[in-house]
Amino acid sequence: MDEKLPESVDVVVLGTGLPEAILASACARAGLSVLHLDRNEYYGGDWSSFTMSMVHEVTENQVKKLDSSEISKLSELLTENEQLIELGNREIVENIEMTWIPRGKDEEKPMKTQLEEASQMRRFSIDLVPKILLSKGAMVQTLCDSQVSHYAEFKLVNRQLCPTETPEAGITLNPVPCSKGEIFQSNALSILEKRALMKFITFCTQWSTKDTEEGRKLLAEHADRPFSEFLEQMGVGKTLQSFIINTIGILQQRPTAMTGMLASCQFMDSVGHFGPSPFLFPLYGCGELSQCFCRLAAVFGSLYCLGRPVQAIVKKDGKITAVIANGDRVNCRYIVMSPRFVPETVPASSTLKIERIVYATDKSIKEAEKEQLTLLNLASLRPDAAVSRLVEVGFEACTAPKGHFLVHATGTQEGETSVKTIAEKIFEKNEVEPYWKMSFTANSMKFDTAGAENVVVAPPVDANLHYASVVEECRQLFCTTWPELDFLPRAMKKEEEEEEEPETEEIAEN
Amino acid sequence: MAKTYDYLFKLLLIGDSGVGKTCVLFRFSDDSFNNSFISTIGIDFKIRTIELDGKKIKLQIWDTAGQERFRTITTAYYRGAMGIILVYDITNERSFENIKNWIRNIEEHAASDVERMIIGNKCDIEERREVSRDRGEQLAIEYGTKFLETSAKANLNIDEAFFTLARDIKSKMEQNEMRAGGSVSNTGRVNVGGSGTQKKSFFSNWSCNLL
Repeated sequence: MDEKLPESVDVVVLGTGLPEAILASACARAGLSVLHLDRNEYYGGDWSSFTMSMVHEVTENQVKKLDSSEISKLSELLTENEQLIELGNREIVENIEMTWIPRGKDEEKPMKTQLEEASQMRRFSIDLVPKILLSKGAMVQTLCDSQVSHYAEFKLVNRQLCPTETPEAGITLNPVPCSKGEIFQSNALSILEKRALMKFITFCTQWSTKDTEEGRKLLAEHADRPFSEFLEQMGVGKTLQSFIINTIGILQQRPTAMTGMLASCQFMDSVGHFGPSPFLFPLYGCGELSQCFCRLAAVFGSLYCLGRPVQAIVKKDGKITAVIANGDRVNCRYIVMSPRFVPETVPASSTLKIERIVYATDKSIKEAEKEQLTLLNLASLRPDAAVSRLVEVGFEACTAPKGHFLVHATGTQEGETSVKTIAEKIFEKNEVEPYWKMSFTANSMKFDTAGAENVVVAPPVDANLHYASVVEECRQLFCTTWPELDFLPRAMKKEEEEEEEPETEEIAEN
Repeated sequence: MAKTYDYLFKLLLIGDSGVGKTCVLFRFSDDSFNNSFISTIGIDFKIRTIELDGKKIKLQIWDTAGQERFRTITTAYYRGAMGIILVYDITNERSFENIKNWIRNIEEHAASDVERMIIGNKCDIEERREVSRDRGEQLAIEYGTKFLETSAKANLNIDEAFFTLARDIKSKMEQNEMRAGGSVSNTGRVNVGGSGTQKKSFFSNWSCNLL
């Protein structure tokens, strides 16, 4: 590291997770000078994706507490009336366990050795926070407006499965049709049910054009009653009801008529936008998105420095005046920090615990002719939990070697059955033997304040399926902190790019 | 609409801060040169379409956006790159030594079959030379890449560098196509920025159908 950090910037951003990256890019784009620091040598922080050979690094971000001699040394950097505040290193990801699971069929050579010998370990991209994008959601909109879309490619989540469980058959995974074509081809629905579904969709089409109040009126007394009751009343039979609720259930757990209708419209609005499925997954994993926003920030002059021990902040008259990293003082007007960095003295306003398990397998949970990117809503098997789902991604999404898959289980901790139990039941039923797994708890910590008025605490990791809330929270934080600036405004097209535009489309189509 | 090119190649420039990556880029794409050193701000990528053996090849060349300063290039930068030009400054020994580190970086993050090339830039400043041409050539032999000394300022060998790399990628690609039986399959990736990919919404589909 031969270059020194700048003496002073407008904004120091601590942590390179997705929300910090979005905020850094918004600041840089708006013309603020930005220094973006991370303690890790890699991008993405608690939102990162790892290769199989690097995944152990997730356990290695311990930060030593400052001892008294270090504190007195750092205090030399302070001027009159300034106070040194040690930064935290919150356990956002905890109880991490990683194991290679021995299997009978690998007796001759363990899978780990097989993968290492074929240098396939780096072909994995293991997400800490796997999410999908709604084709017409806030994230896609932000990517397009900011042109961060130049840096990323996506795959359609081309299969949604909905599980049913009976004592005799165990868990069965049924494909959920999304598009018109799929609905007509589906054997799961009778002609009568298809007709009822068409009727429901027509109703959605009309309902989606109404504003909230009028929409509510149309649902009348059903509005805040369970969605199933409303569907019943529309003449939708039991099978079809569970079908609809399972499909949109991935967007809205335990829907009322009102929230169910909103989710249905959101779902249908995104269907057909980029293909039959309403959902997209980023190629090379979700950690790419943080990096892509960091690149935008860099293009607009933000300075990047990873692997720096970020130790403390300096406070004077209720405001933060500087950050101390690796013994260097950087003066700043604002600080944006990930929840990980919030000083230990500041209490979290809420913490949600998210259970996460990632499995590596060499067989899909439901084999098909072509490789599928699969989303599986487990809500019907864990009715008490707010979130329970599986995502299976493989080679096509560049997250695993050919023929291999990563299965991500995500769940909140209510109820008696864990997502782990269900995932493992599904594996057993479908004769899938994972050869590796990693489990951890992700702490979604919210902070109302970080103890000073010019500190912005970025939104925490969360269990939501898609990115709308993260993007929206970042926008709000940005607009509250810098009311005079625009949040990632639509990029001006350069002349050159306009010329190129039709060609870019061609590439996409080919 | 007819395609205005036969191939699209994504190329990267990599090397230490101050070796002249952005100048090389501007010389090649705009045939311009600016002497003053400003750390790269606002340069994302540049495009120039060239012709090789009657084929139109669109080169999309990406700059590091200054993220090389503290060796913090995103791994995402390497995705999909088909060719990489490693740049050092012949008047800066350190930048030459660091080429090895950059190659290690490439091996870790870029596709294993990416075409590479090493160029020693600023060869117009002979009086301040620290790295002999011979050492540059030796390094290139060691890594099995092509080598050129260039000057963005004097416009020496810049076009040659890009044309050479493009030609290597093209012939590799044509070989692969032949092996694959004429067409390389596309895996149905979605580029959300290109409006051309957007299909009709579910609603419009349905109402069409219902009418």
